[in-house]
Amino acid sequence: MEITAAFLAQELITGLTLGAVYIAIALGLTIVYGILEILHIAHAGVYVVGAYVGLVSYVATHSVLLAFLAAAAGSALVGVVIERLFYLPMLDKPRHIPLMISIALFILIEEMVANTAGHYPKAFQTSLPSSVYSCCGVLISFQQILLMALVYALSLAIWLIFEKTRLGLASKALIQDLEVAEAMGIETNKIVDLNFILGSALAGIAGMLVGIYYGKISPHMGDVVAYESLVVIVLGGFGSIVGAVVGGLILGVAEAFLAAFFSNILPRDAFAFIVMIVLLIFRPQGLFGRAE
Amino acid sequence: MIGMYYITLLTEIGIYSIAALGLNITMGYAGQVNLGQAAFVGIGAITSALLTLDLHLSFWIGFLAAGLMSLLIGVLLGAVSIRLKHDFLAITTIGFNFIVVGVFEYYSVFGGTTGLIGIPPPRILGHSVWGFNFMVLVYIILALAAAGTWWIEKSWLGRAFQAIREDEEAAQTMGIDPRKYKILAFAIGAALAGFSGSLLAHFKTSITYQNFGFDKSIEILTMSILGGMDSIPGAITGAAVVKLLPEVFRPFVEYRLVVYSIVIVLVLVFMPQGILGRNSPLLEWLRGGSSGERSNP
Amino acid sequence: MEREVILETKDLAKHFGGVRAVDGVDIKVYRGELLGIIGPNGAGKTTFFNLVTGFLKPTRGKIIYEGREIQGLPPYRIARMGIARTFQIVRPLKNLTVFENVLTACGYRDYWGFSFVKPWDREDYLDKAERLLREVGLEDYAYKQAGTLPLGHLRRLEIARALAIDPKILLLDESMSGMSVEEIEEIKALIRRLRGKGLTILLVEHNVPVAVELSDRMYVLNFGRIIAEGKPEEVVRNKSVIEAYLGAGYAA
Repeated sequence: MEITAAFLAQELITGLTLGAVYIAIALGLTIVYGILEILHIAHAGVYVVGAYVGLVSYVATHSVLLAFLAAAAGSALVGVVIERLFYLPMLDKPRHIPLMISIALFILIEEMVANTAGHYPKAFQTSLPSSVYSCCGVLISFQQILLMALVYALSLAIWLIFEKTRLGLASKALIQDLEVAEAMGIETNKIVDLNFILGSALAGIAGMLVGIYYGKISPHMGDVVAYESLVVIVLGGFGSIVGAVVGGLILGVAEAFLAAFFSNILPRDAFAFIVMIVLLIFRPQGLFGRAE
Repeated sequence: MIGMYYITLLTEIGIYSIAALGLNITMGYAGQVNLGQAAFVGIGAITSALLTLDLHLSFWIGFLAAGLMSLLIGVLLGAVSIRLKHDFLAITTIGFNFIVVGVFEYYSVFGGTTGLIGIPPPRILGHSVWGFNFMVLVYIILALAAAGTWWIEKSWLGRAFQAIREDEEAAQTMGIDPRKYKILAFAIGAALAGFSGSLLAHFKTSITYQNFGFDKSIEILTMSILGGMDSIPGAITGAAVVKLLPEVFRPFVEYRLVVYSIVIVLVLVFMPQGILGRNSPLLEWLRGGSSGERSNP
Repeated sequence: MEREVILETKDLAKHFGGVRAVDGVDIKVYRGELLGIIGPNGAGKTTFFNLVTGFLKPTRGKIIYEGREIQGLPPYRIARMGIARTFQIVRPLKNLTVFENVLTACGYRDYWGFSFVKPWDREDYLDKAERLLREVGLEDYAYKQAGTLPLGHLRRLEIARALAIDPKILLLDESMSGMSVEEIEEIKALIRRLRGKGLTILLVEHNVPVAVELSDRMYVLNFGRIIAEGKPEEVVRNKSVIEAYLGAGYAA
């Protein structure tokens, strides 16, 4: 294999695309973890729901924009239902209980999707241009540009919400201490709801974007992201938005290059976890987490 | 004579009971999250399979080596766990499972994508053990494992495990070294998984990396939680329920996993201590309302 | 007769970054005495306590217990040597019964090496745990889940647990805080009873009147240093002590 600059640039684009997917999932995950300290595995199920709601809406309306809105709304709804029914009542239970519930919900969502829409992948063709642009031997598709542009823009928006709005301020108070925030008169349930809506909507949009990017969706499209997005929030430090973005980029790019050079040594998810465990041995609080 | 169908089912229940018992020790008694128990089952299965297939050693050596190999890797994971807080540990054990399965899948020594086939059944006095006899063998080993777990419960080891589960700092004021007991908890739990893996390999006679994926870890964890993480009969009950549920719901084979996950969620929400766990509603009812009796008269 | 020193610290210090929480403390604890350590909030009492029990490693200085240097040893080894402690913020083993909490501590000798294989279900251990529960007055709650008990009971549970390791010295960390007047009276009576049995007790207290009432001798800690030492009634009349508590100006 000849290693050229164009080859490296191509892999970088693959990595940045992959990174965008991770970021879109990990943002919601990190927000939920920051507030409730629950590893929200079912978030990957919310992402699958987004992809399917998006497809169904697109078929019905032939409008990409409406489909995106529907995907966001559908996912937000599922996210809030999970939060209200299963997470808020479980906060005082031993921590493996909500974690297990979350994993079971993830399986449940995937299976319900599979049973209603079929176990096999479904094509996701839209009227969006399918052009591929070429520059100095590097290829980039319209879908890739759309995916990255939208995810990076939405990440920026979420970061701004957290930094500049009262919702962000209240959420930060919750991340510090849920009970204290409650005592300060913050309507904690409402803030938690809003955070779930935000994170889940983003995951839904990401699900649909990935569907458009690959041209197909499947009930099991969440399997890999469910656990690899955990690597992202470990890299970025639990509860940190900037950390999730940086962590997602690192993981996406690292995986693209590892897959290009070492794909015969180990599967890429195993690589991701090895990197994470080695990192944790030396920095048990994560890459951006603060030492106690 | 019971039919082959039931023998197979009962044998699998017995084999997974051993792995669930191991998880009860690590997670139920000592409170150390382990979401990768299936990886230890796999390490045991492949150790035992390779020793009997490639080196033509007897099942018994393979069986003991399986437990030992899983124990050693359990010590390693336990050593890593010392540095990690709860959720980091949970994710690390998930990762451990993915890595182990990745190694099995990518290296043909460990079976690769096709797996290991033709694993010989155990031999006792020159006779191959299979079918009904294999089931008896499994239940003898399960009985030994249960006796061992019971002995842990009744010894200071069990007390130390419970203490580090509840509060590591308080445990230290009682003379308990949390690091030592965390490593022990992982090692013992992993060893039991290793034994169960060896039995699984020689029962199925062919195994692939897919038998030890993260979904299997969740299955074992479900057995453990369902039965009650701090109960020996609980682990066996849990294994039986998890293995029997899909059979009961066979008419709805399409919705098997749906039913399965709904049951898990309902149990966790309404009875997080499991069917036979300490203070479970069922036990309270059996006892007639008086809970937490002193365990000797 | 010269009294025997059981525990001594020499130039003991703990710095957190630039904060000198404990900064060169020399104290002596004599066998059989009830020694009080008082000081205003943030004086370094709890830090000092955590240094002696091994939960923190000192920046410098020595801790000498029965002639052996113990600074830097892990807490579980210090506990096995006979230094018992309670926590200011109680730490019960919540999901276990009160009885099990005490019983677990009774096994302190068996957590070493491989003796953990020994059974706990033996009359001598069970009797000891029961006797300790009677000692602190929790016998009626023996089979209650520890997490369900009120604070006053939990403090007594912690004392029973500390006594279970057959301590030569008992360190009590603010055992009165957050308790009602009656509960404080009960704990005071318990401490006096233990002292009467010859147990050496180190009492770290925020509540000055209680400490004065109970202690044979007292140290006052402020900004990580000892500012006074002596008989309780004399110490609290000391000018620098009054200033430490009330600020300069009140001492006149």
